Amino acid sequence: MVYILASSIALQLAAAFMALRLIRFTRNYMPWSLISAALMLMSVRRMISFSHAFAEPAMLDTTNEIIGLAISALMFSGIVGIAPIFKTIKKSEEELKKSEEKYRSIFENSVMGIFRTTADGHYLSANPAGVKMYGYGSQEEMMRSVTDMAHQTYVHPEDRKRFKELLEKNGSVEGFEAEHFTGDGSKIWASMNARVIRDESGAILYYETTSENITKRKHAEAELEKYRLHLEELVRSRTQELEKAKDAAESADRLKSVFLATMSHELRTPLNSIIGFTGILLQGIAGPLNEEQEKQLGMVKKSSQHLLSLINDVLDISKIEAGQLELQNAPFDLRRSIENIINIVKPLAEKKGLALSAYIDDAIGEFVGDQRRVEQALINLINNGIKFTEKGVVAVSCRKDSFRIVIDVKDTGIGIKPEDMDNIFMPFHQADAGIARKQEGTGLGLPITKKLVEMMNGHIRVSSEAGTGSTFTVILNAEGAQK
Amino acid sequence: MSDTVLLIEDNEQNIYLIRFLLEKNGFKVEEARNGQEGIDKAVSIKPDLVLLDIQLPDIDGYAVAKRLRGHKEFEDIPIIAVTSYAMTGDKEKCINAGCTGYIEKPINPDSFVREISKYLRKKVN
Repeated sequence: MVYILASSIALQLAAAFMALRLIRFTRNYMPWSLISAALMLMSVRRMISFSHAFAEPAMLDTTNEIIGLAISALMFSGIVGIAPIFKTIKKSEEELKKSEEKYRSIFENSVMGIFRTTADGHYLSANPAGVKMYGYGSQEEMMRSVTDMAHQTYVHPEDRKRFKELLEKNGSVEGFEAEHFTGDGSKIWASMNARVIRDESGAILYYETTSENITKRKHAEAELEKYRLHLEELVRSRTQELEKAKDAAESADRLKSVFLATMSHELRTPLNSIIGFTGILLQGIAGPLNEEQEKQLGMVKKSSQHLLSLINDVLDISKIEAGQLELQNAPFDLRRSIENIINIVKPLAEKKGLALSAYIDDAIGEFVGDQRRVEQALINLINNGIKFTEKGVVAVSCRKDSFRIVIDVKDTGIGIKPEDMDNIFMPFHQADAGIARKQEGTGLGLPITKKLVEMMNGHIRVSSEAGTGSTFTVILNAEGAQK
Repeated sequence: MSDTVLLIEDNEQNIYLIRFLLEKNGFKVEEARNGQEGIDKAVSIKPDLVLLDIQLPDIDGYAVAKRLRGHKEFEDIPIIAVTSYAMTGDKEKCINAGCTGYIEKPINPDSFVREISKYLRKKVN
């Protein structure tokens, strides 16, 4: 009795287990209730035949009772055994349903086009966004109209070929960009992500593609590219213009340089004869001169030397302004230079009855720069002092501290009016027209001096009081002109 | 025996001036009117000093100096450039070409002979 009961329960459990397997296998194909009913039926039938085989005929009533009990047990275990299975099935179905709803929702509401297409270029499905993107009235119209995507959709059919090759080789593609025709023949740009869906045997079922309309971006890019190319062209043509201008400027510079060299040569050559022969005649080696001849030749000599200094000044300022004047940079004895200059200009001062004094600081010695140009600057200043002073003193002082060499040229001459201060360093300008007539010179001495000093990385300044005198101060770097 | 100066110069007045000045001061002066003639004459007479104009009708003074320095016997002979160029770097160009000294035109007749004698004395020393 107990044996039978136990057997029937075991049997029922085995059946339930098998039923579970069966349900798992077939749940996609058969409603669960059908399976459940079949199972019940099968269990009951087995139980009855089982009990018939083992029970005594006399115990038939008892057998019936047992069957009743067994059925109860079966019902109970069935509920206990199958209920979770049923629950699981229900849950899976709900999830599937939910997921399908979700897909449906994405499919319906996506702003991106979602398509299923066949390898030979038909549409299997298209979402509303996709239908709209390609300018069709409905999914059906789109599916009906397009039968060969490579030629109907792709502006360049080889793009479709490339798309397919990539897709079938890698299983998916991302960000594939191509130009497409829409239903009305206009063109759009699409960026596509796609994957291949295959069946269990590996045969291609369809392509699943999401597609984004990037026409605006493409047009913006094209526009940008156009601007970039235009900019490049602009830069190129501007560069050409600049090169032309540079060539012109360089050839102008060369011309200027040649002109200056030629002028320098041509103006000096006749002076060579004038100064040379005057000098020879004055030396008396060509024969003796009478007093009057000597006096007149002396005037020729003075004038020719003045002419030479004018020519030199004009050439100097021209060279400076043409950027053709370069300074040497070599060590020289500044003390001796200043002493030499004083000796050179002393006769001029004495002739006018002026005192010429010089103070040179003990610290003054070697200086690195262009000796000739430093001397030229100082001679200009001292000559100017002598030129514009009628009585009194021209005093030169040269001092040095750790950073600077300060050279003062002080005179007790006519001085400079405040309104003329700005102009005294301008070329071809003498402070006062009246004086310009009185004092010979081109008015180039100070401009040249200022330019030279500045080229030596120094500077020049002036303080003056009209009627009392002027002081010109040159400040140079103690380390040398290039520092 | 007086020193011989070879004057390579194409301007007639300059030739006359310098010849006069030098001869009056006891020099013997030979002249050449272009670069090639100057080189040939220098090689044949071996002067004690060469006065060299830079702007010559055929080859310029720099080239003349370079070629003269190419001759072994010209290693010690002073070559003095006498030029009215006076542009930046001219002096350096002359020295680089092999000149010993540089006198700017217009020459100063009061100091010209003294300057030249300086180079001759240097040579003797």
